[in-house]
Amino acid sequence: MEDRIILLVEDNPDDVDLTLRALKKNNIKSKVIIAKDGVEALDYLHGTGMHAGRDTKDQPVIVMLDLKLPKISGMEVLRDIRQNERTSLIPVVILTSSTEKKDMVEGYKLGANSYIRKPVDFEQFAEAIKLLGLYWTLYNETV
Amino acid sequence: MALSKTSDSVDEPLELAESIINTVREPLIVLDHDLRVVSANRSFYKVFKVNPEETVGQRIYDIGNQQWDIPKLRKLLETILPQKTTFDGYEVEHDFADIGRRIMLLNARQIKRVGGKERIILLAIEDITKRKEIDAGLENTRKELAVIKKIADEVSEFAESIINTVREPLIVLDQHLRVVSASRSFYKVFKVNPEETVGQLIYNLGNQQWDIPKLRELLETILPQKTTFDGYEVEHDFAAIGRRVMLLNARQIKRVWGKERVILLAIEDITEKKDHEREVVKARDAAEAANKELEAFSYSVSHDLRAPLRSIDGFSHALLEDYQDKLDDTAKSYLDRVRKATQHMGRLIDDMLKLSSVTRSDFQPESVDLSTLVREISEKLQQCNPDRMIDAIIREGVIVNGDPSLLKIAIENLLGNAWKFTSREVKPQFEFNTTVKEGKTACFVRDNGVGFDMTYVDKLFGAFQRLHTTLEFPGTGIGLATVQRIFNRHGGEVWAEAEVGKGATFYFTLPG
Repeated sequence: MEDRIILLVEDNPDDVDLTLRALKKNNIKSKVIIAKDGVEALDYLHGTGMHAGRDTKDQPVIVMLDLKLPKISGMEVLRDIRQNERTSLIPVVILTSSTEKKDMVEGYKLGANSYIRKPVDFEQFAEAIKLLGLYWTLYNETV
Repeated sequence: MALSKTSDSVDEPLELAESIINTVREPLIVLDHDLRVVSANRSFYKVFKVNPEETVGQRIYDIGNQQWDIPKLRKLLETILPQKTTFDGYEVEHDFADIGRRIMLLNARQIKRVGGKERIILLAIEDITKRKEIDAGLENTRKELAVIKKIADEVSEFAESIINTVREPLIVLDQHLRVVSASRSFYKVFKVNPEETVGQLIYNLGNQQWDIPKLRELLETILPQKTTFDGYEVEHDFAAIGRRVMLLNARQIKRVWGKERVILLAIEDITEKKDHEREVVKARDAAEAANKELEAFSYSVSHDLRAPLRSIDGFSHALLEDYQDKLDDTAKSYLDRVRKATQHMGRLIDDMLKLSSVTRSDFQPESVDLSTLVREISEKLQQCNPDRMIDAIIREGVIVNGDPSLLKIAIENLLGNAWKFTSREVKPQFEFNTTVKEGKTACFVRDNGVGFDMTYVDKLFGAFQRLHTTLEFPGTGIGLATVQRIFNRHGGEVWAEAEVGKGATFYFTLPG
C-alpha cells in the first residue's frame, strides 16, 4: 500500500495541507506527490523537467486534479494524460471548487473518472478525501 | 322579270300584285272580307311551314290547327282594321306549334280589290324574333356595361380613398414613371405638395431627391420582369427630411378601362424601426458582454471565494482537534462559531450561484410531468430527513411545458420550504395540486407549517430577504428569489398566500 502513489495537483498550499491532513486522519499512507501547477504534474507523469530521470514505470494509482492551476490548467493536464499512451489509463479525479456545469461536462468528456467539489465544511471534505483515498488506493484495481 | 311573266295574264293587275307578293322576302297573306285566305306568298309558306293546299280558302284562324287563332291578331283584323283600314308595326308575340315562339310585326292594309267592290286585307308579316333577341342582347350588354362602368368607377373611387386613407405613403406612376397621383400621407411624409408632384417624373420630384439608384433598379429592372415586388429596402438621404430607410412594395397593374400599366408604389418609412433594431442589436451585444462578464464573475466567486472558506473552516477544525487540551471552552465555542459562519457563507455563495445560473442557463422547454417530479423530490427529502414523517398529497398527471432542470430547482425549493416550515408541526402535511385562478390553471404547493404574515409578502421573493431568523429556520433567503426567476423565465408567475400559524400556499402558473 505504501508504494501506491497519489498525485495531488493543487496550487493552494492550504488545500494541500488540508488534503494531507484528511489522508493522514483516515490512515491512508500512500505516498503523495504534490504538483503545484500543471507543468509540475506533467513533468512528474512524463519524467521531464524537475522530475527528469524519474522511472516513469511507477505511475500514480490516482491523480487528484484541481482545475484552476497556474501555467497549464487542469483541463489541459487531463487532456495530455488521456492523449499519452503512458498515462492514458491512470484514473483522474477532478477535485475542484467549481460546480459549473460547463466544467463538469468538459471534465467528463476529456475522460475524468470522477468529479468532486471540495466542500467548505472540513468534516465533509475529510470524508470525501477518505472515500476517494480508500477507493482508489485500496479497492480499485489499476492496469 | 315579274312583270314579263304576268304580262299575258287575264287579271293583269292582280297577277302583278301576286308576283310582287311572291318576290318579297317578307311573308304576305291576302284575306277576303270573311278573313279567308285568298292567297299567300312563298315566303309565308316557307316561314310558317305550311303549304298552299291547307291554306288557301281557309279562315286565317283555322290555318295549321288553329295556330293562327291569336287574340291580338283577332283584335287587329276584327276591331282595329275595320276602323282604320291601315295599320303598321302591330307587334304580336305567339307560340307556334311548329316553329316555336315568334315575334311578328304586322302591317295590314284593307284594300278594295281591283274590279270589285269587296274588300280584301293584305297582311305583311315580319318575323322580328331574331332582331328582338339581338336587341334584347344588345340592351343587356348595354346594361351590363353600365353596371361594370359603375363598379369600375366605384372601385377606382374606393381605391383612391384607400390610397388616401392608409398611413403608408403611396404613389401611383404611369408606365413612363410619371406621377399619376399620390396619397395625402405621401405629401405629408415627404414634405411635397401635389402641384409640384403630379405629372412629374418620379426621379425629378423635389430637386431630384428621388433619383435613387436602388429605386431606379426596382422600377426599371426588377419590376418589368416581376410585376410585383415586396420589402425592397432603400436607404437614402433626403434633402428635406434627412436620412430615411424605406421599405418599398411595388405592383405593376393594368389600369381599369385601359391597356396602359400603372405602378403602385407603397413606401413604408422604417427608419425608426431600423434604428430601433440597431439599438436592440447593440443592447443585445451589451447584454451578452455583461452576461459573459457575469459568468466569469460567477466562476471566480464559485472558485476563489470558497477556497479561503475551506481554509478557515479546515484550520479551525485542526485547532479544535489538535489543540483541544490547550483550548478552554470559550475558545472552542468561538472556533465553533467561526466554523458555523464559514459554512453559512459557503451556502450563501452556493445559493447565489444557483440564483445566477437560473438566469444564465440555457432554456430548453419540453413536456414535464410535474407530479412525478414532485414525488421524486419528496422521496429524496424523506431520505435526507429519515427522522421526520410528512404526509404528502400529490395530484397525479400534472403535465406542463417547461425547462426540466429549472423546474426541478423550483420544485426543490418549494418542497424544501414545505419540509422546513412544517418541522414543528405534529402532523406535518404538504399538498401538490392544481386550481383555477382568474381563468388560468395554477399549480400550488400548500403546507400546514408556520406560515407568515401577509404584511411582508412583498419581501418574500426578494434575494436575501427572510421572514424568519436563521435560528428559527435555517436558510439564506435566496430560494424563493430563485423560484421567482425560474417562473418568470418561463413567462409564468408565482405568488403566495399564508397566515401565521396556518401554513402557506405557493401558486405558480406556466404558459402553454
